[in-house]
Formats: sequence, C-alpha cells, structure tokens
Amino acid sequence: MRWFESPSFDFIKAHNIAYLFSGSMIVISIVAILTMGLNYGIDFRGGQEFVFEFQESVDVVEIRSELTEPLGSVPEIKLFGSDREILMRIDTEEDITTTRELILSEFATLYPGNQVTVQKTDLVGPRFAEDLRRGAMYSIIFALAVVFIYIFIRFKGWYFSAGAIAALAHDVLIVLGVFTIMAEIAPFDVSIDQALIAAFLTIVGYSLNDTVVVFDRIRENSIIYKTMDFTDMINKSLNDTLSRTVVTSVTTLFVVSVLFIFGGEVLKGFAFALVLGVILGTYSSLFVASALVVELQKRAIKAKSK
Amino acid sequence: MKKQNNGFKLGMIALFLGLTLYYLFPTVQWSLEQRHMESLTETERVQYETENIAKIQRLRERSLSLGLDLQGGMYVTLEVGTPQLVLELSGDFADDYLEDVIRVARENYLEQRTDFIDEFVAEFERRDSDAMLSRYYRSDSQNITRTSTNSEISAYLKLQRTNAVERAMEIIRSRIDRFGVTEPSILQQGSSRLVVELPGVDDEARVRDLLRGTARLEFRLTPESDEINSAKQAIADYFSDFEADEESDEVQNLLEIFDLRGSNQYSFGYAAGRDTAAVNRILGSEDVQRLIPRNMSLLWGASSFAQDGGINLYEMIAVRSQIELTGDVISEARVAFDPTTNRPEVSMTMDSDGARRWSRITGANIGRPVAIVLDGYVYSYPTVRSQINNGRSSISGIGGVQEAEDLVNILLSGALPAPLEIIEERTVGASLGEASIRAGLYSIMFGLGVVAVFMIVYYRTGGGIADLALILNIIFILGILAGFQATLTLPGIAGIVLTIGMAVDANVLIFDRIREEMRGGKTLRAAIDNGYANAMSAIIDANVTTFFVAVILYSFGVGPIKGFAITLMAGIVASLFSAIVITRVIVDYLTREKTAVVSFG
Repeated sequence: MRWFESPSFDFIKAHNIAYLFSGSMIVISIVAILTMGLNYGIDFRGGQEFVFEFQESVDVVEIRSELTEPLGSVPEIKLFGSDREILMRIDTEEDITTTRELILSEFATLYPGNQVTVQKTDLVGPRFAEDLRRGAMYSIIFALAVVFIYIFIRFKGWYFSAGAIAALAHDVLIVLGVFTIMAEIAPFDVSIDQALIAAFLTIVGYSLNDTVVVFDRIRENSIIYKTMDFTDMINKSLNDTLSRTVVTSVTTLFVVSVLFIFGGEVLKGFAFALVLGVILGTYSSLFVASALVVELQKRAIKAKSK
Repeated sequence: MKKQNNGFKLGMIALFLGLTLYYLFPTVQWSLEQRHMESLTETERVQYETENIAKIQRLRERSLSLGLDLQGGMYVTLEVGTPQLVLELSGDFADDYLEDVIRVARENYLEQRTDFIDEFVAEFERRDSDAMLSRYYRSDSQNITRTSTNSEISAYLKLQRTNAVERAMEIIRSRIDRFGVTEPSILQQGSSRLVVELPGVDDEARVRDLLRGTARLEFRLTPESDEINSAKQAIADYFSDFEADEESDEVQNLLEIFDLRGSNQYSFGYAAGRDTAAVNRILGSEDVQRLIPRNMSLLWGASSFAQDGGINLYEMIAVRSQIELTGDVISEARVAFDPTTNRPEVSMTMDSDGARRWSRITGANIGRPVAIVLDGYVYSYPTVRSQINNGRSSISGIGGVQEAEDLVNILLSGALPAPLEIIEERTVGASLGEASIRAGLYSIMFGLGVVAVFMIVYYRTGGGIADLALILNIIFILGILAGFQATLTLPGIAGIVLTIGMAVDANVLIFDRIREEMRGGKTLRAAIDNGYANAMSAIIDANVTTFFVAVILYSFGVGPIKGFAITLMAGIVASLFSAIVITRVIVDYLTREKTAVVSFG
C-alpha cells in the first residue's frame, strides 16, 4: 500500500487558511481560559478527592445536592466509568478521615442498602499543590527552552527554533482550551493535573518529532537544490516527508485511541489529551511550523537587506 | 567487511537480549511462584512461605515491581514541622519575641517558597541587625555558646533539621515495621520531607494516625480546686453580659456551646464534639486567655465522657502548664486490660531515672490526681494512692485494643523530634489497581495488534520485520525497567502503549526512504543501504529531542509520572536499537542473495 507516493500539495500557499483556523482556535482557547479559568484538578488546587463504587447505580445530581450542606461546600461530582462509580472532589482542610466518615455516613442515609466501597482517595495540601504547580510550570518552560536550544544548534537558524516552539505552544494552548471548554460537559474527568502535564510534554515531544523530521529534510534539500526558492524547497520537503508523517500519525493515533478506549477511567483525560495532541501535532508541523519558518526567514532577509 | 559488521550487530543483539532475559527472569519466576502460592491452602501457604522465605524475599526484590496505583496501597508525603522544631530547640530561652519572629518567618517562607531557616535568620536580623541568635540557642555538643555568630547558629539549626528528618525516618520505619507492611519504602525528599509508600494497606485512618502520632507523653499535676473555680467564675462573669458581635459570627458566646459544670472538681466543663474547635478558638482569644492563670492549661479529654441524644460530649480538664515527666523515660510498654472493667490500657515501665523521678512525684502528691497527657489530650487523671517506686504507670481511657496496640507501637519507637504533617496522601484500592492492570494489558495488546496489522498491510515484508522489532522492543523496555529496578505504574504502561505507536516511526522513516531510493532507480540492495543511511539524521534528531523532554518530565514529575518518564526514556533507547540494528540485520539476512526480493510495499 502506498499513500502520498509523490504528492505535490502547496502547503505554504494553504497557510492563510491555516493561520485563520489556528488563529481562531487560539483566540477561542485564550478567551475560554481567561473567562472560565483553568480547570485545575486536585494536584494543582489541593483538597480531597474520592472515588466511590456503589453496588447499584446512583444519581450524581442527588448526591451533589444532598452533600452540599453537610460538607459545607458544593462538591464536584462526576461519574467515573459507570453509573455505579463516582469521583468526588472537595475543597476542605478538614482531616481526611473525618471527611471520609462524614461522606460515608451521608451515603448510608441517602442510599440505605446500597453498599459503597472507597476505591481511591487523594489528599493534596494547599502548599504541596503550589509546589506541584510550580514544578509543572518549570517543566514546560524548561522543555520549550531545551527544544529551542537544541533545534537552534542542530539547524543553525533561530527561525527554525521559533517555528518549532510556536507550533508546540499552539498545540498545547489549544488542548488546554478544549479541556477548559469541556470542563462541565465531558463525560470523564478533564481536570488539569500532573498526568495532563505529562501528556503535554508528550505532545511536545511528539509534535516536535514531526517538525524535526521535516526540518531535517529541509536541511538535506537545501544542500541538494541550492538554487531552489526557499518557499518551494520547504514545500518540497513537506511533500517528501508527507507519507512518513501520515503513517506515523496514523500508528500513534491508533495507540492513543486504544488507550482512550481501553485504558480505563484513570487514564481517560490523559489519553484524550494525547488524541487531541497527536492530531494537532500533525496538523501544526504540516501547516504551522514550516509556514512560520518561511515567514520568519523572509522577514529576516528583508531586515538584513534594509 | 560487511559480514564482520553484521557479526558485531548480532553480538550486540545477543548481549542485549541476554541481559534483558537475565533481568526479567526473576519477574517470571516470581509470578509463577505467586501462582503456585495462590493454589495452596492457607496453612500450606504459611508453611511454604516460612520454608522458602529467603527465596521469596530474593524474587520479590529482584522482580519488576508494580506501582501503588496498580497493586493498591497508600502513598504519603510528610513534612517535618521546621518552625516548631526551631522553637523547641530554643528550649527555656523561648519568649514571645522569638515566637513572633518564627511566625513571621513562617509566613514569608510559605509565600516565597524559600528555606524556612534562612527566612528565620533573615527576619531576626531584619528586626535588629545587631541581635544575636545565641541569646536563644545553646548546645554543648555542637559548640554553640553565647558568642556563636548567627551564621553558626543557622548552620546548627540546619544540622538539627537534618537530624530531625533522619530521626523521623527511623521512627516511621520502626512504626511501619511493627505495623507489618510488606515492602514499605521510605525516602527523604528535599530538606524536610519524607515519602512513605505502603503497598497493600487498606486501613488508611489507622496508618495516618500511626505516621503522624508524635506520641508526646506527659505527666502533669492538676491545679488546686480553688484556682479552677475562680478561673471558671471569671469566665462565667466575662461571658454573662457578653453580646455576640452581630456583624461577624466569629465571636460567639462561649456559654452557648460550652457548659462550665464539670463532672468533678478538675473538670473545667464540657462541649459537644463538633463544637470543640469553636471552644478552642474562643478560649484562645487574648481577652479570655487573660482570665486563665498562666500556670493552668485547659486540655480536652481523649474520649467522650457522656452522650447527649447521640452526640458525643467531651470534657475539658484543667492541668498544670508545667510538665513533670515526659515519655522519654518509658523503656517498655505493652497492652494490658484493666482487671475491673476489662477495658484495654497501655501499661508502661520507666527507666531508672524516670522511676526515681516518678517516685518523687507520686510521693509528694498522694491523694491528688496526675494527668496523663498524650499529644495534647488528657487520657486519664488517676488519683495517686501511694508512692510508686517501681516506675510503673498506665494509660487508660483508650478506645479499643487496636488503638492500644498502635499506641504501644508509637511509644516504643520513640517520640518524633518535631510534628509531622501529611501534605499529600494517595490511596488506591486493590480492585481499582487490578482494573487498571487489566486496562493496561488490553491497551498494550490492542495497540500492538492494530499497529502490527497496519505495518504489514502498508509495508509488507518490511512491516513484518518492523513488527518483530516492535515485540522485541517491548521486551527490552521491560528488561530495562527491571534492570534499573524501576516501578511499573499505570502511566508507565501508558508510556509503553505510546511507545508502540511511536517506535515504528524510525522504521517508517527508513522504509519510506528505501521506497524513495527505489523510485529513483536504485537496486534493492543499494536502496536499503541508502535508506538506512539517509534516514539516520532525522531519526537521531527526533529521538534526542523527545528524550530531552522525557528527562525533564522525570526530574520535575513525582510518583507515577516519573514512571511514565522512565518508560518513555526506556522506550526511546529500545526502539532506536530495535528499529536500526535489529531490522537491519534481518533485512541484510533476507537480501544476502543478489536476486533476493524483499517487499517494502
């Protein structure tokens, strides 16, 4: 089987549409993040989280309204895989033993005879949450910095670095935006926690993979076709590597979809971020990163000739 | 020349495969052993375990261990309370000024996320640049005297903190060993944190109390009943014409929630369990504190003394502020039962020094009660009937046998040098862990299946070779994890699944290149040579950058995320090796005849 054996799409020409698409996605994401706020999970916000498993199905809305008063605040409740399991998040500094006993006794009166077991508990103190938040921020900034420097050294042009970083920031920002918008409506947990930071860095790594392969081909072609116009050469490089880009994206998309479907409830949000990331990463290395390199290079030359 | 080269490659493959199998062998053995043990009956199993304890121990240590999120258990991060430690180290020199410096330094430290001791010294010097910390700290053994400089004292305090963390670690280890957990892990993190991992623990509340129980055991005398009564009167007068501030519900009339009638002359009053925090707040306010004599402390009883319509009532007991004797003198403790009530209690024996002081205290206070205070709660205050010379004492008023056992454990392992606070705690039930393992295995199998089929459909023979490399790749990853004694977590499994998708990338790059070269009119052999050679720089660049990202993730992540980063790194190394070396050897072997045909689709 062969896909895109000798394609000749004009990726660079398509960049106006791509800019429009990416631009509006980014604007929507930023507006969503600014108005709705990042939906921090327990890792970054602190508090207590429980997963309860009941013997028979329960009603989330009912539990939420019944537990608000005894807990002193509205708990965040979501179904966790089936309608017998719920995930509950509470902002409290009360001792976790006390909270747990309180919730279990409320359940006993609310659903007599419906046995409940505690599957998972998480407690993150507010100071520790702040440490984790810092760690996550540093790791993302650090990762982007290392990528910038490595590409700068290997490809000898700051516009390659800038193009790659812009594409990565583009991917992560849109995934963040989607997660923010989906906070209320997603049927699974899409809060931003440590696992999601791991997903982001993986997206960064993946998207970079694609971008670097294209850049590598640009480097190679620029030696072979010395006289070719820079834009044409980038376009040729994109077409040369298109088959590989698509095949790798397909295999990766296969596995992250498998992870999303079969990976269990704990990994749902993480796998969802990866699915989005793989799609966005492929798109951005084809339409965003290279187009930006062309743009930046042209400007650099213009600035020089002035 | 070429043959020799392949010989080297074959040697490398054999070496890696051998190493991998060597490291994975105990894991396979261990799972067979576990299966065997499960098939036995309870008594047979116990016998088998005692007979083969060394073997089981060895296998368990060497096999690839599962993270707490897969096998279920408890993960706790504890922080040593440095501010309290710094205050306590000053001993009798402590005063309000020092306490205030510590309070401000603590706030700065929480805000700036710097080192508390640095903040403490900075705040002290900021208030008065000439002031000497040696006013508060002395230590003969560390040579800290009146003339020690502030930086010497800062170093001394840091050393004390290190010691406190180490001591806390030992104490926690000893408590956990006594509690009985298989394969616990206790590690220090940063300057003042401990990470405790306890697989298979399902009684979290009990472990929680065990971990942070400071076990500060104190013996205190009680004030004269006149003193208690006049303090009660003063408080009753203060609140009798007290109007609660309508604006804020913070200041409540104490008498609404606290009853000053005690069950006996030492009892200061009682309140419902849920109101005790509010009572503490009101009693702690400055105005009320002024009404209570300085040498009198008001402490809650450990267990409820009565019930009122299903609500537990707790008594507040008046004791002297001065501590007569502390738990340091306890040399032996065990669970005993009160002969009359048959309720559990902890019977303690003191060392010779303690016994001598205990004898003096009891001798001088016959007919008066001595309060036994543990972690700020009064457990009992029995009246001394005669002088006690043999250093015996006991703690009664304990909830149950289990609590008594834990108390003995805590007392014997020693008091923590500073309070420990749980700042992170995660528990996973065993059944959720099992579900996660299943989900992980399914994901690996399906992921592998889908990718393998796709590769064969798309690249034919080439795809088949890549699939073989992929399977070896997964075995290599597990081998690397076992070799580095890493733990397999759920995100780690996700990392393996992800690697399956991305590992074929190197082969995709190579095969696409081979196709391209063949389109350019090269022979199969030449196309293969060029394909491998030309794809190399892209493969290296793409993998090095991803590897960097994984390293960053490893250094900033905690717990299971570290597991993800490790599998990602292992996956990159293994996939580079299998995609470049292994597939090359196979391709070369298949094309050893000039006329051979290998399809790359």
